Amino acid sequence: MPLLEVDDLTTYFHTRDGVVRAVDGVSFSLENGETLGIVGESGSGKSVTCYSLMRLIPEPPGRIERGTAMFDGQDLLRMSPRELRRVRGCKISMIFQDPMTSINPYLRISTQLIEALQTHRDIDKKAALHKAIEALEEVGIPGASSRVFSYPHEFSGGMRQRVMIAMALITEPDLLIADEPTTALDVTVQALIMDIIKQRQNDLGTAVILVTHDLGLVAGSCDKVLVMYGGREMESGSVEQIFHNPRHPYTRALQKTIPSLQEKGQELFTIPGLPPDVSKPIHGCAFHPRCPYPKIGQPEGDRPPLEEVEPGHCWSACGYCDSSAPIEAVLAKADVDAAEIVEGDA
Amino acid sequence: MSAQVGNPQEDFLVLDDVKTHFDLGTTLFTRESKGVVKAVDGVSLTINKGEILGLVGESGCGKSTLSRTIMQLLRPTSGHIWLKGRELSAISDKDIRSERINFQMIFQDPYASLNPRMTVLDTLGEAVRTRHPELKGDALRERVAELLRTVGMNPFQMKRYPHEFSGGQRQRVAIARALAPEPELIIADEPVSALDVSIQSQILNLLKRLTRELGLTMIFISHDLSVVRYIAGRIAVMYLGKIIELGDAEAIVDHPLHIYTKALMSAIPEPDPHSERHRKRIVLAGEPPSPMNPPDGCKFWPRSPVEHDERLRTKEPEFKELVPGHWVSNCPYCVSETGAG
Amino acid sequence: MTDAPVDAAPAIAEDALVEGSSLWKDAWARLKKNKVAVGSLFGFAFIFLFCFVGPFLSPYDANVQDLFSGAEGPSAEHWFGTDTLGRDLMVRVMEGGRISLLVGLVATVVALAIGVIYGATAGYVGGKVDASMMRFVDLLYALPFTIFVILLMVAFGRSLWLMFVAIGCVEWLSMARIVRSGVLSLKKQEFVEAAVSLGYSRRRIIVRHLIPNVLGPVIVIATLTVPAVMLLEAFLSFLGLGVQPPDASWGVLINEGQTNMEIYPWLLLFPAGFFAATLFCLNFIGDGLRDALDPKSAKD
Repeated sequence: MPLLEVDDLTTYFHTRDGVVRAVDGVSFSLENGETLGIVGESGSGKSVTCYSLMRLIPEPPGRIERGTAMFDGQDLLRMSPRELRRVRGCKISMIFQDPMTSINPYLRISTQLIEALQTHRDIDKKAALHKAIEALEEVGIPGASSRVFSYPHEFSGGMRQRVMIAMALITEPDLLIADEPTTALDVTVQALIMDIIKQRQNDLGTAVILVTHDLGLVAGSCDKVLVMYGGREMESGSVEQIFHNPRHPYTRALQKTIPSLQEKGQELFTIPGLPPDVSKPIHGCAFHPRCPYPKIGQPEGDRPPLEEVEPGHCWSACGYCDSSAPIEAVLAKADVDAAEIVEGDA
Repeated sequence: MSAQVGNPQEDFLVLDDVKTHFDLGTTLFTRESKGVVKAVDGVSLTINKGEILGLVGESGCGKSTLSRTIMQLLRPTSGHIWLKGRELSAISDKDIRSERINFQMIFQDPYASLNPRMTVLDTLGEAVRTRHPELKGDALRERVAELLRTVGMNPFQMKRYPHEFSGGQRQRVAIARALAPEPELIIADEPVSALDVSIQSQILNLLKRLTRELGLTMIFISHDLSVVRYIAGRIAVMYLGKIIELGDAEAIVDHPLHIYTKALMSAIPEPDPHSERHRKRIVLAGEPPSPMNPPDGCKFWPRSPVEHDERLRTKEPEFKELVPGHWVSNCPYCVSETGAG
Repeated sequence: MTDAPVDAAPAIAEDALVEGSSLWKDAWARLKKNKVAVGSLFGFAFIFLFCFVGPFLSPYDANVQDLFSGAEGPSAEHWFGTDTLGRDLMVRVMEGGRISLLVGLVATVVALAIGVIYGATAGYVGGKVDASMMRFVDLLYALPFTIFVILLMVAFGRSLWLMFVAIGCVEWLSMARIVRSGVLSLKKQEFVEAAVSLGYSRRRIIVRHLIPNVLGPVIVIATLTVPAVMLLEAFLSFLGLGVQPPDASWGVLINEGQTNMEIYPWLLLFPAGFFAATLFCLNFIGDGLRDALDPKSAKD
């Protein structure tokens, strides 16, 4: 039985300027102890997916239109506020991108950690404090027994992120959702933080959903990958499948447009155009307008079907492009491109 | 002047022992010094015409401060800066304004670097007129249109406001603005860090192409070594206000000499599951340090995985050309000549 | 130069360009949707016309006394009734409104003009100049307003224009502080750095780049300053320092009205009602403007 099974999750925002289809029918599942990476750029819907699971979407203007998210036998999307409170922070925890603003600056770390514990566990203050100090030690904060009484601003960015991890994991949740946890950090600190997350994950057997735009992070930390674009699923599979046998044009193109240290002397390709406007309805594959492959006709209908490439590996099979050739053959080459004119918004 | 400082009369941009310190003053009653932030602490560099120099480092290393010092947005506390034979650092605050059309900057945040109340035409028109004050009306619009085409934007959009464009488009406008005064030197401070991944490569390619076609010289600043490696010919690695390694991009990436450079590269995750999980990494202790009251001598010793002998810590390592064209802050604990990547 | 593949680059005629939608336009659109604010705008417009155009339409003169019709309640001849000296109350309320509104608007404009330039300059230049400029402001702030105005009035005689100046002199201080803090935070934005690196003069940067971007909060404060000034004027008139008889502002009328409010309630109700209505409208307009100009509700 998977720990989390999400089916057709759809979240729209009903704004003045139209309906923004932030997440448009996304499905995935997660086993105990597994790490799922959700990859996408801005507007892909990756963050909104996680906020929807935690029911942190402001309603209005947001609304979870349909879908189910079965966690531990219950549907997260239909739980009452009371039931949600028992799940949040206890069975499912979340850490966010900006450690400056996601910890209450007015309270000591000890207060916040103890609060997290006492809300969900029957435990007295002294024991809770002891656990809090332990939690800080486990994330590698030196001098934890005295630093536990510090205020957030007394820690540096990387340290604050560790504190946030400690806070999230102190209740030993079954699932940790990490929304771009290292984007605001230096690369050396990023590596340390990812190590800590991995290590604690091993200690506790926690499953992790890692939301990121960084393919390198995904390669290093994830078991499964879900690639999102325009609020929809483009491709999903195990990390080896996605990296070594990408099927969807977007997945392929993405891997080729990122400069990486190991690809010595290789060219840097570009994907022309801009990410889609999800306040307008999308016909067919969301990536079609930017797809570098030769196009066959105009897409119709709502969306392409999900096709299986190999067991566990699916892609949104757009029938309106010919993606038989390797991606390098069709992407604009770095030094040879013409000055493409990028249109402004309508 | 140390060995690798260039000739101010011949070389394009020469920095000689530039220091930018911020004195935090003294406390009110006890008159104690509140400390000095040594953001840039002795940088000497020669940049050749037409090259793209990559400047890499983590937060607190001083790369942003160095860029603003070269731009004379901050005046150096000591040291000299020459651009095409003119000593910028010696020009007064009043006179520096007219010099500014020769060097321009592209900033990191596309959402904050354009005036939200001015149209693209206003912004670019104003910038064009720094070099051509006589242009107006139709002629000005034509010039602005040409600039927009150069950066890949539709010129008919010029009457729109910044908030009507996406991040990548705004950055193109910012690039156009930097090009408008027809400068010879451009400093790009993290120009793609705030952009989506699929847009980053568009902008990187644009910058590379423009540098070549317009004969520009560029300093490209980033915390992301893989981006810098792609676009730069040479790379300088900064730490705590000093350059600790300098060389050709390939040399730095393939044969780094300083352990910090090696650690930086090993921290970058590779987008390949197999190699990423099995490679060895150099782990640095602690966090990027603050430039307030940095240690003397080899500044890296507090974080170095290699233990530094206490007595030798305060000895200032020599910035030496160990391999032709490849300089490094030659601390015996941090540098190994067998620099494998 | 790049030879773009666009071979015949079309001439950039002014009318071929796509018009942009400035932030002001967006704000105006948002404001129009705020029913309370729009209603208040209409309300204020009505009151304004009532006070400035009304007297021309009234058969009565505000200063003509008719002792035989003294202190009569609202009737067909006198819609608002008369005061103890037989003057028509409605026309007095209209003319009183003229003075109150004038004081409010003029003093606010004066405060705006001085405050914005002073605050923007102090904020942008910074350092010792900023410090001394703001200490001067602190000094003036510390002066008790009433004493200051009394001194002015005593020295220069009581006149309406002097009152404008006095009030303006006090209100610009708050404006300066607000503008200065706005400029301080704007200064850190990269587009200001860009303006400096393009070699623009300080004056150009302050006028073209800083002030337009602080105008948002300034407009809101200005709209809320007008009622504050009107109250100040009423207070002064109450003390006998403001408008002199036979002229009257709403403050004077309210003062007269409250002395006899149990016997002749209309003498208080009408001027107070109009005064309160004006204050309400201005406050709602100010709130509406603040919401409309709020960057958080902007597109990104």
